[in-house]
Amino acid sequence: MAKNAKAVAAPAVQKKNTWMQIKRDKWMYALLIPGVLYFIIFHIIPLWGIFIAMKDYYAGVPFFKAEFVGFDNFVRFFCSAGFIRLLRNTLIISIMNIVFFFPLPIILALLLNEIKVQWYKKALQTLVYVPHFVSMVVIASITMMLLKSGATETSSGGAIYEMTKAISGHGETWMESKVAIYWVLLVQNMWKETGWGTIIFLAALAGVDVEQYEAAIVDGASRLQQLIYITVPAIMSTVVTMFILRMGSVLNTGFEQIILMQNDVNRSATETFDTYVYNIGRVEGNYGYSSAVGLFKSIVSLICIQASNRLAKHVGQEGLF
Amino acid sequence: MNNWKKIATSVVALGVAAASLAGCGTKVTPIGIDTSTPKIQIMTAQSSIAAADENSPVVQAIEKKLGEKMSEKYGKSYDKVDLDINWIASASYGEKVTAAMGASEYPHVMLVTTRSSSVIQNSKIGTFWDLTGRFEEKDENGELKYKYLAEGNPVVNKNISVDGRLYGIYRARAIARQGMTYRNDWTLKLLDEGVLDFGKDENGNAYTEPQTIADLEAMVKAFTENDPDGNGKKDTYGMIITSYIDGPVQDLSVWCGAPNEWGYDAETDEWKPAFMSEGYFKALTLIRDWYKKGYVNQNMVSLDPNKWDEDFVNDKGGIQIDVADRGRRNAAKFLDADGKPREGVVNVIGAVKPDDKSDYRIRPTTGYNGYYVIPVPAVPEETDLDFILSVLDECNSRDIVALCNYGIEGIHYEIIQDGKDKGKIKFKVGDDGKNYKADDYADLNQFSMGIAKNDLRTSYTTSVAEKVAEIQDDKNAIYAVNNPMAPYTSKSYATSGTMMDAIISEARTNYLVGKLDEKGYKAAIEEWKKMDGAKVMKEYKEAFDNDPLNDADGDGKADIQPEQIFKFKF
Amino acid sequence: MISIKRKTLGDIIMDVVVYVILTILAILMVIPFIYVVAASFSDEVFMAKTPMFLLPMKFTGSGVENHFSAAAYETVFTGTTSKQVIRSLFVSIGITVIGTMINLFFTATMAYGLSRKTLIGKKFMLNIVLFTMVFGGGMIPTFLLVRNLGMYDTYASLIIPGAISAYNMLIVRNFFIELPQGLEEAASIDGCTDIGIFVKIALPLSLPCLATFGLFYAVGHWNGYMTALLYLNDAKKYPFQLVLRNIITQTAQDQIEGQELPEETLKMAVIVIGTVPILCVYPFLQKHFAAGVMVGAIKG
Repeated sequence: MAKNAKAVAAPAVQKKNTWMQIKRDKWMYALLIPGVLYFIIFHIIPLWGIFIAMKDYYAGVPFFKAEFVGFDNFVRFFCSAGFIRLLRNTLIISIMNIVFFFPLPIILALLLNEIKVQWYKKALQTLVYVPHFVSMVVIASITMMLLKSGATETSSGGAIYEMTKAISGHGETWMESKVAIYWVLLVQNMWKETGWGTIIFLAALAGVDVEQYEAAIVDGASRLQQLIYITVPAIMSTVVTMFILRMGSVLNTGFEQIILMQNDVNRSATETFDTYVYNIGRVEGNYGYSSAVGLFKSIVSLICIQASNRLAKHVGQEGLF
Repeated sequence: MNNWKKIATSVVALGVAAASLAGCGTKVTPIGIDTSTPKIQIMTAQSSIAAADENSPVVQAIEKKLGEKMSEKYGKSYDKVDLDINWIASASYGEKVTAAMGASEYPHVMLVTTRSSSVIQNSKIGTFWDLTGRFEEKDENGELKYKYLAEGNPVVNKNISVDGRLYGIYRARAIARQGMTYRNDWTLKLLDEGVLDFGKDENGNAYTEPQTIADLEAMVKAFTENDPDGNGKKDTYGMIITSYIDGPVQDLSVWCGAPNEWGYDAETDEWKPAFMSEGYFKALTLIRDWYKKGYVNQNMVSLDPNKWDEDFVNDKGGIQIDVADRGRRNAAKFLDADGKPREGVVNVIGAVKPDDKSDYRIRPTTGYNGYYVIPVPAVPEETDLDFILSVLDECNSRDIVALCNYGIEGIHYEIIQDGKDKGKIKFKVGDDGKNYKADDYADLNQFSMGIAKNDLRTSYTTSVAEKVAEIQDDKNAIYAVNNPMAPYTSKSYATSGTMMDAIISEARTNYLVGKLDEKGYKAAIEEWKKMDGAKVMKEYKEAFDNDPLNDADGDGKADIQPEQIFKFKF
Repeated sequence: MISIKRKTLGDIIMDVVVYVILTILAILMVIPFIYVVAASFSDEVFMAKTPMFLLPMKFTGSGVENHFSAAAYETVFTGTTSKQVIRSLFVSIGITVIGTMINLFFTATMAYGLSRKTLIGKKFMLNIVLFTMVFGGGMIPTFLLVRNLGMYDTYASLIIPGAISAYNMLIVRNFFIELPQGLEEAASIDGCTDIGIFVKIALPLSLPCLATFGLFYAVGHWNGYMTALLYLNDAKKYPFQLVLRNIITQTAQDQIEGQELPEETLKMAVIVIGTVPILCVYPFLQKHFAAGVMVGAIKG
């Protein structure tokens, strides 16, 4: 930093200075070339795709031959049966995740933090991180295996199916039920990501001043009291930040997860904005319409993220940007 | 500084050039009809976990045979016709077709399994060769150029058409595929006891198979209440229905007189989906009634379709409405003490009459499972197209169909020399009890089109299997109630279909289990209409009216066949 | 130091509760995987009839007994699926190794380039990166671009379009910013160029961080199938996860066509093969996770 401290105020020399600075940093710019090129080519150039949303454009049809329809795709989308349904499905899945999944990593992190035997803590962490590293394809197929319904002479149902059958008396067809599938998606997400989600909170916990605990012990505070009066407040700011940011991405649902768990029976309950864009665009080949839906979602998401970011800063937290 | 500038500008220039120039136009791989080994790239769907590849002796035999046939046809000497087959897993096949179109990277021959909007659009703008009338072409000697393809069923060819033009060669499937599988022994016993009576035919002989919906109703009732298995206990029920309710409902509704998928309402001059018809509602009401009375399994909403056969083979349920094949499979599950299938336990019927006065009806399939298109960008030349069509034509010949379906004679199968099954095909069985070296021809039957009729038949172990083959042999096709909208698509349905179908299927299920009454079901139909249904109806009508094939008399107005008319208004 | 206080009863109860809950939770999370491994070594009939077990077994006349059979693995590597499995494993290994190296190169160079606070244009470039994190052209324009770059149906399409994860790059950049400045200055006085400093000082110092992100990228490559499904046309080029998906999604629906279903133990073996490599690597890098993610997550 020291060598850059010679910023000169005089405008006459500033231009020359700028050149000097650029020249001095030439190798830094050289290092930036691959990355900048990457972002220009793969993130900036595709922005022209916004125009696709204004065309009646299908896979394989030459772009210039596609009819320009303005905002017709958007209007059709808002007026269609799909819109309300997609919004409903997306919000159900997302809000269930915020209500039931969001607190879990925090609780797990607090519990892990209470374990003072380091090797055991490490071992537990290793175990709970495992599902995060397993591919979604595998997670989905294991889930389906556990939920497999029905039994014949040659095969039994899945473990969870048999368990619920033993408890309730009738087997639930999880994958075919338009209500149960939401719980399947939620629990699957908990299984895969709870462990991994603890990392950020564990990091925050590691930053808590040890002296506070020592003082509390001197004052005769019990472990539970330490947890409630020191630990929780210490990570509260991280929790609030994470919560606000999570609210900002309320329209984002686990795309790969849902695509893999979707079948023809539960589709009307599991189709979300992301999967709809995929199904209409990549499968059906209706590029124009799917781009319009995708664009709509991107813009709403952008507004949500900006809003939540503002809010995070407003309550005194550091935002994402 | 100068150096750095040069590097930067050249890298940027390269990037921009690559982005703008590369990949314009499709790279065309010539088939090489002038070489001794022409190579045709084919993209098709794979349904087993490992399809036969180029090292399979069966594939090599097919290639060699095609070489001989092409040598003969074109008067050249071809060693073989190389089939470069790209097997794509069926689970994601539709997506791969769309990707190929999006990238304009086509094989010479591409299977299309779903008529997605992009497939329709590409047909319209000429991405695929227009094959209308081509199969009827004759060469200078007056012989048909593609004699097997010319045998194609006109109904199926219409079903795969776009705006009245034909763009593909379909993979044939039995038109009369559906059937009712039921316990024959129970039925005969109840007929004997006089509980059931199916009436008499014109010669005065009593029917032993149900003929009308009324017969069916009586059967379902008697199977539950009249102790068909004669064990003195009331432990049986009529019909087994699974969570795949749609299938039985559709078959039953057509038997009850509903149109197949779409019908024409002359009063309002509208095309309406079948679920608005009285016949459909009657079928629903029947099942609702049976469900209430316990004639249908009480877990029908949640029963996994994979468990459909469980109660049937365990002597609990008596009737299944599904593909007729189910009868063949289930008949083989009732074994006698020697482990041989018991005769007479199971029977299958294909057609049912709504009442005594009406004719038999069956719900046909569309008659195809996907079709092969030939993309113009990959095959720009007429001569190449002709060669490809010749190859595909010969793939429908008896010997190549035999290779695709059964493998090589003497290795994978043999032909029965005597007995009642003389001339039929018997698979050889390996040490593991499975078909011998089935991997050699795995999925080749998926590649095969099977358009032309041939006399190849496998031998079956039960008489029910023979009956199923008979039903599917298109003998029943005369009773087929065709779906008039099968060739058409609707833009609104393509984007909202899933959501719209959900409205109806939820209402239907609720009606069946008694959670909804007639008024509620009607309200759901109104909701469907309000959502996008009205648009879908309009779009289908337009598509129907605009299809030149529907205007045979040339009066500028689409003709409507009598059986398509919505006789029963709801 | 404060003398260690004797634990109160409450503390002990809490300890017990915490240990018990966590242990149960951790076991619950890995039980499905143990089941899959056990099933892959188990007997087909036993597996089909038993919803859950943790040791490979088989039925005998009277009951069950332990049974360890690698038959399913043998089938995977010698049976009908062997060709595609082996081929796709090589593809996946290749894509993971080369892809990760490219990821790290692109990520590290850009992160280091952006780590100089006074660099002219830095703010502009950072803003572009942040913008692309929340807003993009979408799947289809990217697809058309990849196609126009001639990458359709090539392995490059699986690697280049995702060369940098903006999020990872920003975290690595923060790591570079935190590096002690003194070393760099000393090196620059010694006549090292910025590239020299990057290679000789910054990279070695950030090895743990890069290894962690290398793992994240590698996991992405190994587990990914969506891009392959989109960009690869030739089924012979498929990576392992796509082959795995095709094998395990063979359902009863296809049975109607008269095809043999793959045995369940075989499916299990394929799952194990697809999962084990990553699980072998990650515990070694685990200690860096917290550090790496923390720096980025709570950044300015």
